[in-house]
Amino acid sequence: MKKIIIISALVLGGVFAIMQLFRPKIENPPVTHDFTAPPQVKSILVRACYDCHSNETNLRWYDQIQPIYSTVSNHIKDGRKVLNFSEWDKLAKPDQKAKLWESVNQIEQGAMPIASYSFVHQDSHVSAQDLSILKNYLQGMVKRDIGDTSKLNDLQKQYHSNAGSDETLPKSLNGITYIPDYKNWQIISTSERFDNGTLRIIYGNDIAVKAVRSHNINPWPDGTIFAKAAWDELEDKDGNVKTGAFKQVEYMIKDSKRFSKTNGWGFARFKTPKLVPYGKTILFTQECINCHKPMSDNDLVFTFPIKN
Amino acid sequence: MKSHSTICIAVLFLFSCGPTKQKEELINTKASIPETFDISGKNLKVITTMLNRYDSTTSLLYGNEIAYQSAMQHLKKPSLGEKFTLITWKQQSDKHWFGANIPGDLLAVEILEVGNNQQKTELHYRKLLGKSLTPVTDTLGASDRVNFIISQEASLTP
Ligand code: HEC
Ligand code: HEC
Repeated sequence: MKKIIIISALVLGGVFAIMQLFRPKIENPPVTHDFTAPPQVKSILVRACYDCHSNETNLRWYDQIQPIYSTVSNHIKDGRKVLNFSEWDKLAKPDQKAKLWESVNQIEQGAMPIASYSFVHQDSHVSAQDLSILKNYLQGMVKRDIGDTSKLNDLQKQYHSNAGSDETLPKSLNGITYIPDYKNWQIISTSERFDNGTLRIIYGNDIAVKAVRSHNINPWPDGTIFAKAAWDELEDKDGNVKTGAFKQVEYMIKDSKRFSKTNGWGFARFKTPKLVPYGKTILFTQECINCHKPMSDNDLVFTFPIKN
Repeated sequence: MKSHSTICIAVLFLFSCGPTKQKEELINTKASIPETFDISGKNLKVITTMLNRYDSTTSLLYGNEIAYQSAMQHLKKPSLGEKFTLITWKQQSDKHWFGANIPGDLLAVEILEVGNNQQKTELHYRKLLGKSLTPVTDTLGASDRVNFIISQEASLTP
């Protein structure tokens, strides 16, 4: 009996030692343009996020031990790919803003920092107070454009251009064809996005509307389609806000077989009245899923549907 | 041994009964439109959405085909046969997204129908208040509301 224990311990120890030999190198590439913000804001992100979302990764000794090391290095590789505070200038201004709002939302919904990481790195915890500092910072960046003439002009231009006269419907890289019929659908909800100054209508096809009526929405039934259209906000001096230039329409199509690789949903986005399909490669859907992921308990759906 | 298994079962139970979301919570009941009104069964199209910053209200304007076409063409004057329905909610912040406001309490449903009586255009305006859809008898401000509804332009939908 004793012998068996000793042998097993030796074998395990050997395996453990050999594992230490396999270590992909984690480089810290140069910081090309670091994210800037007031110190109290930045320090929270540096402490909680920079290990995986910057080129200033600071591994502690316990991160260097296999098999933890492999997990951590994968997180860093994937984390830098989707969000890198050290290469902040690679993002256009509106995209920088969008990433920040997404970041704060990922923190609020408990999706970031990754749970297994913060379990080990207690100092990466974002407290309620930290979160409200971050939220106040973002709220301070929201500005209202009252009687904005350039936005009015954008709308006028769209009225006078005859886009979409092309007969063939556009198709996104994952094979989803633009569905013009959404205009005849009923609604699931509306929303005002003050993070990016847009008004939105979330339309649902018949199956979606019926699913809401019968409280059968988690998961949503196969055949459900959402279409979310977004417009600029146009505000007048009396505080009336109406829809301006058309930004985009986005779809989520539920088909658990056809879209099994993307959590049962087919994602597509068509931009501007020209309906240009979004995405440089088929992997664009990862972006949709990453931001929708905190909603995994709700079948990846953000919207609280209105029964109607 | 026996107490061990009891503890195990108790622990299992705790986890299985953990914070699983009830389906009900996801439906925006505050903002839902009473089934008796049956807005989605009325064969109306969504014309546009709008909000008011000072009142923190948000609305959706619906119309029948004639109303939809007039709003698309920015006619801004009543045409025979038009039916509009304007639904207004108080806004609430979106618990799923810091950065969004969504419909909260249902405040009012306003209905405008354009008929005619001996060649003369007749506007029938009604306002129903709250979840109970209680008809408002007071007609004060009604003509402003009629103008507001008639003057809306359809959202650009390619
Ligand atoms: C242990 C590594 C790690 C830490 C720490 C971490 N993240 Fe992440 N993050 C990732 C990985 C990996 C992804 C890629 C998607 C996934 O696997 O969830 C990601 C994805 C994201 C995304 C989605 C980006 C996109 O557009 O696809 C955001 C936003 C984000 N993280 C924000 C944060 C913020 C804010 C913090 C700090 C509070 C943080 N993360 C801390 C590893 C990390
Ligand atoms: C930065 C975060 C983010 C990204 C990236 C994102 N979404 Fe969403 N999406 C949201 C939010 C927040 C909502 C809730 C509605 C609203 O207020 O706009 C939403 C709602 C939706 C809805 C309505 C159903 C629902 O979940 O509420 C559709 C359809 C949709 N998104 C499609 C897409 C598609 C397609 C992509 C990728 C091309 C995408 N989204 C990428 C944040 C995101």
